[in-house]
Amino acid sequence: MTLLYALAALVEGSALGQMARASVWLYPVANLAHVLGAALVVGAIATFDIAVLRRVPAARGLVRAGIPVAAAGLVLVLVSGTVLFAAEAGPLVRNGVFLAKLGVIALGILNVTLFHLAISGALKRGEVPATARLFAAISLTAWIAALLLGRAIAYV
Amino acid sequence: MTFARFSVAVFALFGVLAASDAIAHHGWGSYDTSKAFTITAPVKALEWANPHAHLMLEHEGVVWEAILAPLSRIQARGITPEMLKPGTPVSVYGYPSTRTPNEMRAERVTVAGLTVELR
Repeated sequence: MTLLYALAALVEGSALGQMARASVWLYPVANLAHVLGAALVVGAIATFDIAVLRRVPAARGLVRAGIPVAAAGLVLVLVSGTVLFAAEAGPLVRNGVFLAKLGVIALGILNVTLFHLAISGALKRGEVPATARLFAAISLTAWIAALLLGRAIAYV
Repeated sequence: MTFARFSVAVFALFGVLAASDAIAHHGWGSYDTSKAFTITAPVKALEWANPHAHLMLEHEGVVWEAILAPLSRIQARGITPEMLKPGTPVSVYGYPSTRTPNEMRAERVTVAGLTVELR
């Protein structure tokens, strides 16, 4: 924890952190970009996950359509999230909801990695195996939780 | 689940949240609106920073930290950081935090004859 707090202090004191606090527009613009990015990421992922859960045979086609949307959203959330984090890194790493959000994001990334390793072959053959639905359920839960926890940071 | 049923579920959820919000403290964080008070004092320090500007003000022998609003909102409503320089007399109406001692959420600020709502 001490190391985490020290790192956070470093980020908060960085040029980016100072700019994020001092600029009138940088923080609000980052906030807007973060909302848009989150909508794209979670929207694209949820569309695919729900298709898998409902055993829609064309789920693989949704991956093709969804990946550019999710990727664009991912770039937006990562860049804007860095700005938002730098502005108040110290309080954020002491915020339980923020830490929980990082936890479910880690779960979502681990889940999609395992999904890719275990399932993508079957999907390419046009199959939706039963384990795919478990991955989809975990994914849907993790990313929706990340979205809601993100908004909840400001209220605890 | 049909879209109609999903919509009903979402509205029901918001209903529950709205009801629980009426019991809990409203708005951002925990501030006791039943203990609203005013601090009139010269500015000790101004932290002009996003996401919220902060004013340090002495009140009854202790220094209070008044949390204002995002910089863009404060400026849009007519207060610039130059108007809140240390030493400037200001009046801040707001609510004490129920969690952090001597922290106030400012509802409105009066400086140089100008009163600005922060919500």
